[in-house]
Amino acid sequence: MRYRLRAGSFAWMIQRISGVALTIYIFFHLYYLSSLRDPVKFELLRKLLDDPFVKFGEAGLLLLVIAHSFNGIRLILLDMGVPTRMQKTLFFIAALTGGIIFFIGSWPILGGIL
Amino acid sequence: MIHQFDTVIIGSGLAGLRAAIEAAKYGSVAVLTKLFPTRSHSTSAQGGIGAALGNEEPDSPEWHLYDTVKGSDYLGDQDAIEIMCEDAIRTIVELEHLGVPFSRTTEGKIAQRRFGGHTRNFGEAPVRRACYSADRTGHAVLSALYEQCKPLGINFFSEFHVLDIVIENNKCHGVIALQIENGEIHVFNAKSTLVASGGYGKVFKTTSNAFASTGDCLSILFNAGLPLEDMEFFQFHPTGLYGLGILITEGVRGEGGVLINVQSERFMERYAPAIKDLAPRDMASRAIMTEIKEGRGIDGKDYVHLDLTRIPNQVLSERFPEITTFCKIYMGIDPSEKPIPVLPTAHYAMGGIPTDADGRVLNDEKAGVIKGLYAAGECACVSVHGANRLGCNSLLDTVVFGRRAGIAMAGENKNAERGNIHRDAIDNAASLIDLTIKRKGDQRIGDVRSELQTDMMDLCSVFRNEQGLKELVSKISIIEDKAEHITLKDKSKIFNTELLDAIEFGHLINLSKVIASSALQREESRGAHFRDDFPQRDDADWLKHTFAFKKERVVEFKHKPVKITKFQPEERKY
Amino acid sequence: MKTYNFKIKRFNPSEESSPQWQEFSVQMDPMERLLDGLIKIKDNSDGTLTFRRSCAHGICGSCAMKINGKNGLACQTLIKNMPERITIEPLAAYPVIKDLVVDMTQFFMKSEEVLPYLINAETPPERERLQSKDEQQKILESITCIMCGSCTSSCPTYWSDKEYLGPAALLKAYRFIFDSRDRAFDERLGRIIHAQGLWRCHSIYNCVEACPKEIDITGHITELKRLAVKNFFKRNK
Ligand SMILES: Cc1cc2nc3c(=O)[nH]c(=O)nc-3n(C[C@H](O)[C@H](O)[C@H](O)COP(=O)(O)OP(=O)(O)OC[C@H]3O[C@@H](n4cnc5c(N)ncnc54)[C@H](O)[C@@H]3O)c2cc1C
Ligand code: FES
Repeated sequence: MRYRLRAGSFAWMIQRISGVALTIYIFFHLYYLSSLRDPVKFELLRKLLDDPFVKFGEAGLLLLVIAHSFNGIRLILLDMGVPTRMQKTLFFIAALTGGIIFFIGSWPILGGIL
Repeated sequence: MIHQFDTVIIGSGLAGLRAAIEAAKYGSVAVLTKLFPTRSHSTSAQGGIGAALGNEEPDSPEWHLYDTVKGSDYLGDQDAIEIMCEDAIRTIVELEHLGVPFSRTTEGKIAQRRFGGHTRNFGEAPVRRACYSADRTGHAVLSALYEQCKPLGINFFSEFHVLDIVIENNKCHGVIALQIENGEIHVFNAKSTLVASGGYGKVFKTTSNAFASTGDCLSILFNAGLPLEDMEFFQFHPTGLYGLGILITEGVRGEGGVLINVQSERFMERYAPAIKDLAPRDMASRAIMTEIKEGRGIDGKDYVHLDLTRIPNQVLSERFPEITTFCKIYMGIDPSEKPIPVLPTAHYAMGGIPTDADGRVLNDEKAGVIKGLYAAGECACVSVHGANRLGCNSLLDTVVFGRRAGIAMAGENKNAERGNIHRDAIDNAASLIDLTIKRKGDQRIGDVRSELQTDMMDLCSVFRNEQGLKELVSKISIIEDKAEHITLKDKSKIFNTELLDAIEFGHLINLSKVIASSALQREESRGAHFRDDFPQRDDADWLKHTFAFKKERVVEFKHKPVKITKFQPEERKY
Repeated sequence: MKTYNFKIKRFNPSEESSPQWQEFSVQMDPMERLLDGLIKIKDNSDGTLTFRRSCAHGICGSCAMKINGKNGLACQTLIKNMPERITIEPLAAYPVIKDLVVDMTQFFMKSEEVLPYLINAETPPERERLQSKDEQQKILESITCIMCGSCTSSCPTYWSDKEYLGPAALLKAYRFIFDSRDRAFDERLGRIIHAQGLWRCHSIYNCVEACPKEIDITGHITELKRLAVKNFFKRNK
């Protein structure tokens, strides 16, 4: 069934993977939010944020959000009538701007450890 | 497996489908086709379908009739041509109602364009008569007809290869076919059977025809003792892509494209001063070959140029998108920038199974008919095209006479008994396959087939002569012997296309023999049949149809007078 | 003349349990088509090699196959545009009958679901029904489909859900829904608006890449989606 991977199908795969990953993340996120009720637990978790592994995770989270939302915008534009010949260009624009924003956004997160 | 139907139709091109739609109104219909229906060769027709609609400029069926008669070099039967031209307008309107997406004029009517040999006021100047859907007319019409078959409950048997059409005691009983997918033999008993199996351009090396155009059913009927009519007339279309034979429709010359030689001369002005590049195909092909023979081919090679750069870019891209793509893909040429190398390509079989105007198959030159057997489309010879078909008349022929055959079959079916194919006919078909598969020898199909196709091209195409044709007949006879020694590697029952190639090749040899012998006996030049040794038309001796019959290993001839009603033969000048 | 290496996926399910790759080297003229190469192999090396073909110039839709990982027509692929090693497989997602020949029954059945014929029960006028150039333009691209099956075979959604109508059938639906002469708008739309129809398309664009006639299939499907949404709001106003 293997078919040559192209911009469109690549975008679709990213959208699927980031979508699933973000959904899973949301559940963990909600679980941790519940710790707001307990100051001791809260402090413990806050400290965890200094762990470099968690920082990388946070950057990863940013990447997922950027990928999913930018590609989502691309799809909405195409649905609204942007012509098909733009779909690859839009993909690359999304990838590029997403990349830049990721870079800027992940600097404050990772800046301390890199 | 044995099937019972009222009507069995062989072929799902335009002729077969149009007949099916008619016949299905009155009884059960099976359509057998060796390809999926919309893959039939009708789908590749580009330019248009003729009718004197007069949508773009004044026109009349009478002019259409005149042009067709003159185009046929007076060999067409004028009563049949009249039926076709009179029915053309109704036919096109009906196709439009069935859903064919024709291109439109600014008023929203069906658009029309100029085509070779179609003129205003009995030959004065070209007229817009060809109705088109860009350059995909065949595709548009075939899809629409196939689609309309669906709600009518017509039974399609796709990828069924007809092995035999069973005729006993002057009645057709039905058809025996091979289901390609699994090698099973199927028997179709029918009240009436229509042969709409298309052309046989694959007898030639360079052709615009599809691989499936091998004339199987003509050869089957010929072997069964039925005649074939006017087989010497095979049309060479002037503009096939050089080296490939892929067609560039005449429509491009209708919109302003011209043929030019090495001196950049628009040479058709010399051959047909009145209508120039829109001369009929036989003349244009001969003109091209003459230019090449006399050394005016491009760069001393054997082709001329078709110049489309004179057509406005917008017209080219709107009306000829497909052709523009062909040229880009296959020749690497953008036709809006550079001229295209072209050479005549074997295109259309005027000859075929003789029928009356209702598609009934004739069993002799005296208009005797076979009960329950019909033919329509390119495989049939009514004859409306005579010695040379005009562009855009073939699609018209298929739908007009396809419909008429459908109606006639429905009429005959009311009081007819269903055929009953006997065991021995079925056994014969099975043993043909067995023998072909088991045959041992040292020949390969590919080699022998290209030998035949090359010989036919060299000795029996645009120009012919006695010496060449005699040589050809004996060459074919040698090839026939060689074919007895073809071995197949594929012994499987599943989708055995090598077996089909072998069966089809047998038919090609058979038809080549008929074409070559018919060409040899006609000692004159008329329409597409040009003899160097008899360069004149000879109405005194040869204003008659050829009927070829099989006699053992040779071909025997009888003749039938041409039906002349309104237009007496004249010198054919354009 | 140049030598090319054809690596072909061979399979006869009635006789073998799994596909095998077989390699052939073929002498080709640069002007020749990939289809010519397959024919040479069949004629000269191995008569059992099986594939469909008819028109040889990209209009009948017989010869679609996967060429170097991408669906296309063998008769429309010029050899000079190919690398020296060429991998050829049957179209994916359809059952193989033999070698490059696949069973397209399901594929054709999908189109039948969308009532693929012009429906108009009004008494027709004496002459042709009028249709403006713009109205014709609207369906122009969609009528060029040759039903070769390349699109549906390239669609990941179809791979995972064989009940999905697929791009070719949706394009057919478009061809009639947007034909100004057709009168079965509601019924046809009803037949594509369901979970396995229009909304199953995820705008992956593989079909557009695969289409040998360069039809913007996803674009057409998107237009159907917009129509369906508009129609929904009109209804519920
Ligand atoms: C490239 C090209 C362009 C053309 N352009 C034009 C044009 O612009 N205008 C015009 O008027 N004409 C044109 N023509 C001519 C015209 O297209 C054909 O003459 C016409 O389409 C023939 O239609 P048909 O129905 O007779 O046969 P086809 O469409 O050839 O169909 C033959 C059918 O018979 C079936 N068949 C054959 N043998 C068997 C068998 N043994 N068993 C089972 N089934 C079998 C095939 O599967 C097929 O379905 C063109 C032709 C070509 C080649
Ligand atoms: S053979 Fe017809 S599309 Fe390739």
